Amino acid sequence: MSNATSVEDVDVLTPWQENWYKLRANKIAIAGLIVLMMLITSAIFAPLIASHAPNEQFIDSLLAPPFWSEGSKAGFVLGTDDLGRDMLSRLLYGARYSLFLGFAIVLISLVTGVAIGALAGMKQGITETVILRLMDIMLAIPAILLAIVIVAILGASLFNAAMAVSIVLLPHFVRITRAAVISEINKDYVLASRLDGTRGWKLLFRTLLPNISAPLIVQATLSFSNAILDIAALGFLGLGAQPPTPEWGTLLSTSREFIETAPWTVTLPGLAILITVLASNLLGDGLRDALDPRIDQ
Amino acid sequence: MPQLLLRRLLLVIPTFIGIVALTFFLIRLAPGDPILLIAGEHGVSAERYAELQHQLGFDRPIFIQFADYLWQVLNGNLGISVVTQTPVLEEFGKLFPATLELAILAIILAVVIAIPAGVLAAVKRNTLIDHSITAISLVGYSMPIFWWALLLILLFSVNLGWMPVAGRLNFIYDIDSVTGFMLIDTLIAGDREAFIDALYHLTLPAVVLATIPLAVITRMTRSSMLEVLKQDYIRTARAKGMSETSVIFKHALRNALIPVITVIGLQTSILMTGAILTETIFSWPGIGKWLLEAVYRRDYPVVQGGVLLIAGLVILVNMAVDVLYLVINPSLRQQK
Repeated sequence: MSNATSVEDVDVLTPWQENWYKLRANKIAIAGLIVLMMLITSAIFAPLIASHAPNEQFIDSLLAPPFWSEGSKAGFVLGTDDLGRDMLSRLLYGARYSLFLGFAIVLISLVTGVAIGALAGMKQGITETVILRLMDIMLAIPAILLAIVIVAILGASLFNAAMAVSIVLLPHFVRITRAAVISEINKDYVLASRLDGTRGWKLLFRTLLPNISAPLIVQATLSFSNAILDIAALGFLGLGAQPPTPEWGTLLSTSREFIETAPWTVTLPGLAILITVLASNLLGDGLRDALDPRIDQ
Repeated sequence: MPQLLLRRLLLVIPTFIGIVALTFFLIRLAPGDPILLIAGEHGVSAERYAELQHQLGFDRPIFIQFADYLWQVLNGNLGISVVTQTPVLEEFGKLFPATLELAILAIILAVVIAIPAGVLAAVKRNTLIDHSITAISLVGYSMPIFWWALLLILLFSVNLGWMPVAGRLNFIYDIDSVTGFMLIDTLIAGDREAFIDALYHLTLPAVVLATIPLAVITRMTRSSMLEVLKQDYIRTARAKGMSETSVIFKHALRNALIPVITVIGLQTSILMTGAILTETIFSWPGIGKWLLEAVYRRDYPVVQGGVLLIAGLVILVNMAVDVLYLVINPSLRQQK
């Protein structure tokens, strides 16, 4: 099973290779993966792809329509907004916020959630009860509402919104990790590792984590789409990124008043959110089928 | 089963106390002195400050304050709005019917479409119909509903002019509020035109609010049906010559619906989240819009009380769903 032997012996697949073959057979999930990769690439290379800076204004080209409409202007493929800023450039730079924040939020939630969940699963007793009750309480408050309250207290900014969404996504990781740790902790390989003198965090990271990673990976992918949706919703409500930051939800809220005169300023940012969320949900569903963990729903 | 029910009911108590504690301590993390907030922009003298502090009980130890707050909450006293000076519970009671009417309509819309769609997808597995239903529900599941609302407004209100953009009823109608449900109130008033107008106002917000539950319930019905259709008793039913319609509706659907009902109940939380966004976009005078405005105005008693009431509602519905699940699930009914 170990990685060292599989390099020599090509006939034996490591669990990761096996899962990759299963995932590869799922064309829809791979389509999601490819779209996501393209989005990430264009976000990283936004300064090279974008023809303008995201906040550069062209006073003579206010609300220019996209290329397929009459009256479109050369150089502004997807048109401009009310301040004469290039939509395509703003969307490309906006992808950096949505995708980077999505990753950061999931990472924070995942790491904290695994630590708390493992603590609950390994310690048990009163610690476990308190942690589980606390997670139940957090799950009883609707996600966006909890995020809104946290942002209301911390103040409206992109950073606080990201912190709020990480907190909101936390309970799922805690519950999954705890359930997985409890099901694994009494197995022979864990006992062997313990007899070998492995304790505490080392036992968690070296021994347990590789064996409970499947449900966590699936949850992380699905949380990624939730994080992007929640950040955009908070931006839309004016509680996340503030203008002129080209975050997609914030773009939507500022262009809302131009829905009649310049519908593209509303349709395009939303489409960007939808495509990103859809792609990561497709990948998440595919991963779930491939890894087939007992997901804590 | 009675023990199971009892244990489920008792579990609500610590969760509820926990939610009271969470909102109580969260609000105290907020920047700004509540006394200065109440005193207004002119400020107060040191003496008056101490007097107010004593009056409001802020000079007592924090845990005494919490115990007092918990006692107040249990007695139905959720504080007074800083902005309107009305009790929070009273404001909630006034606005809640608008949200409830919207939520009920949305969930009916979702269930009526989702269950047949899910069954159809499962029965016609791997056909074009199944793939279309699966694809549409996946798009719905991934939809940023605030954008979806704007698209519907753009198409049906701005371009076609069929639907109103905001509110519950055109201002030309004067309807007495009896139940707080506009559809019922207009019927009581016997005003046919007002009823139709109210229905028009409800349509777009209800469609928006129904979108995510619709997608979730469709997916759940489909996978639950596929699971049930694999079972031995379905093969037996087919083998004894039962018609396919009977197999699907009498045997499969009944069993497939058990997990689906749980999922429907769990939509309360999603509906409440959706209500905040939907009500804000459509200027719908419900608790979602009320709560968001309280956040903008830093009206902390309203935020605190509102969150508490919504969370309490979610807990109650989830508990009711659990109880219902125990009641309708024959395999659990036998474990006495």
